[in-house]
Amino acid sequence: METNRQFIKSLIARTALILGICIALTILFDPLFQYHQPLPQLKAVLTDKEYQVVGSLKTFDYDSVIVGSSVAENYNNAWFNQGFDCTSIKAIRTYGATADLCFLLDIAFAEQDLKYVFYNCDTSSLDADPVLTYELTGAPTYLYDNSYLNDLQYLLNKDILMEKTPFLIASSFIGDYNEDESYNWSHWKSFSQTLVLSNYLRKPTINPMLEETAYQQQLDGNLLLLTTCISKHPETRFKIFFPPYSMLYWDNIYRNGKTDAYLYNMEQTIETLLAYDNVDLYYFQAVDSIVCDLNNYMDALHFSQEINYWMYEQMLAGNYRVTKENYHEVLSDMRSLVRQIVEVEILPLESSLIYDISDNGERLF
Amino acid sequence: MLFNSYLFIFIFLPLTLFFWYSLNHRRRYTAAKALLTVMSFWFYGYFNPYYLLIMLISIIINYGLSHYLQTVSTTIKRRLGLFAGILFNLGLLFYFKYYDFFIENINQLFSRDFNLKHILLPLGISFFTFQQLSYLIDRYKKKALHCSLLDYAAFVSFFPQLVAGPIVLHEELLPQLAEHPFPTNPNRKRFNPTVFAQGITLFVLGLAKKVLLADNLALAVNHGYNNAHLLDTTSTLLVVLAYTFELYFDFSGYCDMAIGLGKMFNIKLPINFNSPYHATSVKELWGRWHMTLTRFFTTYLYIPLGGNRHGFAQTARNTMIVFSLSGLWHGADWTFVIWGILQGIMVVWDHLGLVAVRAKDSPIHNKPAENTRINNNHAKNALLSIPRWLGWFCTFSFFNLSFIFFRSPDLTIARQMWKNLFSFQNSGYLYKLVAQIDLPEFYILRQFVDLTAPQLLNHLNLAIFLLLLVISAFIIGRWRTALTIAEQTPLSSRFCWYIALLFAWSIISFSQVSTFIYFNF
Repeated sequence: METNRQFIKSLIARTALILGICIALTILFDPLFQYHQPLPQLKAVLTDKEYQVVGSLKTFDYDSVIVGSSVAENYNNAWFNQGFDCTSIKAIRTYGATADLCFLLDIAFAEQDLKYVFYNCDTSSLDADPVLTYELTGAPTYLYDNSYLNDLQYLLNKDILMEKTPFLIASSFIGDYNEDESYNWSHWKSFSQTLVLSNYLRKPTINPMLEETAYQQQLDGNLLLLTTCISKHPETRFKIFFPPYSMLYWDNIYRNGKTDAYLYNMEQTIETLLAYDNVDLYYFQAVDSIVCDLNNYMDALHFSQEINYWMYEQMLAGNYRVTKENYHEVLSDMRSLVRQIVEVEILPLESSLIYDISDNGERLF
Repeated sequence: MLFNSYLFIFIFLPLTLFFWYSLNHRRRYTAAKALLTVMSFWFYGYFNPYYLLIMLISIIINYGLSHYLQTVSTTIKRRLGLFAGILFNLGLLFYFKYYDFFIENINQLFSRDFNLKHILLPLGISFFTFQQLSYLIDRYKKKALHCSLLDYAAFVSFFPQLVAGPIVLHEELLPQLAEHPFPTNPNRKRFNPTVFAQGITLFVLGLAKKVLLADNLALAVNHGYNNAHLLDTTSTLLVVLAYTFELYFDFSGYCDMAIGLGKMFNIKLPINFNSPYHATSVKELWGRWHMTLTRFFTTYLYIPLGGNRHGFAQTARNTMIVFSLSGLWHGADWTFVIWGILQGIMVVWDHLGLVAVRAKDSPIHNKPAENTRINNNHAKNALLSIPRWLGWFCTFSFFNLSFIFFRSPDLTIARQMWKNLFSFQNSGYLYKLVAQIDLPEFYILRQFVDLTAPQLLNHLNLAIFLLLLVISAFIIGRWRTALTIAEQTPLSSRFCWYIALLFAWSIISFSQVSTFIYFNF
């Protein structure tokens, strides 16, 4: 080449050209669905919740959302579409912190008029701090706003170009990807008592029981977030449900001295939510036939897709509803079940449990 | 902010260059310098505003001491000024970098329970502290002139060299920033397309070293050191080798970028690496590795201690002091001190001259090393003369293995890594290790193999890892450094395409989380 000036100009121009092509390709295929729905012939391949939930909420057409943590990922959208006559989409956040889920709901409400919100309420989300956790956990927050300035991280991204885009294309034409099974992980997992027991590290010591109101501040903050969202959208039906965790989860809660506080949180939550006309509550945590059968689980928390389907069916049929009339009884049943778990159900398994030898009995909170 | 960030490349750098040349073109030299300084403050403060505050305090106090040395004439007062400066700078470094290390050792030695402070270490504090120390010492020796506060702030904060070197001396940078030499070099602050073209090329080459090589090698290295107890002999060897390459590409890549950026501003920065892995002795290696640090220690510590003027014993003592402190400079942990001591021992060994490396018979390269003459002199007194390839092999192997201490987060891990090396076990963990190199460039190939011949996937991962090591070895094995390539390659359309592709490839790789290793030192 020519002169140094020409070299500099050419270098900048050629780099800009290559980067321009990269940007154009990313906008065209848009595997994170930030700008548009899938191109004709391509499927809505949703497998990375942290990266795709917000984009799909912004650009897809829907009138209902399935909101929750990892235990909500195995729902099949088609069940809800068929049963509740709606078009649903998932809004999933790992750990299911209330503030994060409400953030996703705000995006959904800003984009669509929602008929239903199917809200998976995790017990552990009630005592978490009522603040967003996206930045703290390194989530790609540049995808979560409406600014185009920080989109370069998406538009000029090797992973998007060389991995996500080919995956989108391949999943659309090869294999049997089912768009209704977005974020589903159950197909690659096994569920059995043996597996659950091998995954559970039991605390050898039992902490003194915390006061019921130990998490009052966090609870109030989370309930405020949730009820604000509910009251802002009276036209939307909120179907809020408490999923069934395994008895090992309750064993762990008991050994950490949190049982009373957790049950209190639940009671307060139910009492608060029952005051809203556009809320239907379902309570599945006290179903001992599920909770005590460890073959339904892969670890103390995560259950198989059959349990997801079962919950959907019960909600559709109106079973396990919690009302102002029966909620004391429901919570009483739950208390009895937790007692039965720690005093009876867990005993035959104790010889098979693995103990956490690093535990020195100190409370971690 | 990082060099390898969108903000730096698309906003910060073009803006700074534009204003720098615009103001200089209009002969607003002071304004240009002020602009450069403010932009450097932004560059540094972007990491954390608290860092900027510390650097500003350091600049003001050191400048004040320089001014004090200007105003006093008696030796005692000048010594007092110098002593205060050394105390302040080393005290600052000690407080932010070594306080917890010191307390930990006190607690352990005397069974005490003093509280640790867990102080946030300002990035690059070791670099700008040494830079200012050198200025102050030279001011005391009357080798440096007092300058304006703006000149001084621009000198210390010049963003290309601020957080990871090279450690620039006042005599190298201040004259280039000052207006006075203008009559002798009127083009200094004008846009020079030749130097700019070299600068942008060098910046791209450094960026590619960092982003495409060091960061990818780090995937396996980090996994290896995080799971040291699981590694077998082969995987440990490969992790150690990969780290030796990673560190070189990381640090020399950063320095290439710094020098390239300097050239883009028509400011010359000193080179910091000169093919160190070609060295045939540890002594020679330290003349090629982190050269500005070696220069600092030689000028301001080794020579004042007596250097090599008083016989072998004192030379050995001085060498050990320098390298022990050099180890400590790299990090506040005994792992770094041990690493430094090992370097010192080997340099002392080289001083002995018992083994000489012959100048010829090099299978590694054809061009002899710069210190061939020295080697030949040594060869006359040596008990043993070895071929160059053997000298190179021993030197590289030593340096490679010594990095186990450098990279290990503590002595337990270092011990584990050494144990792994001599366990001579093959647990098959290698395949798990190489699976960490999950590069998107190979995604389609991996998926294809996974679908058609899944039993070959492990072998493919291994091949990718080995390919990365071979490419690294090839680049290191060449005699042409990035600087030579940038300065001497004839400009052609093809070369322009290569650089543009490397630039774009590096930019689209930014999405991966990356941290410059040397920022912590």
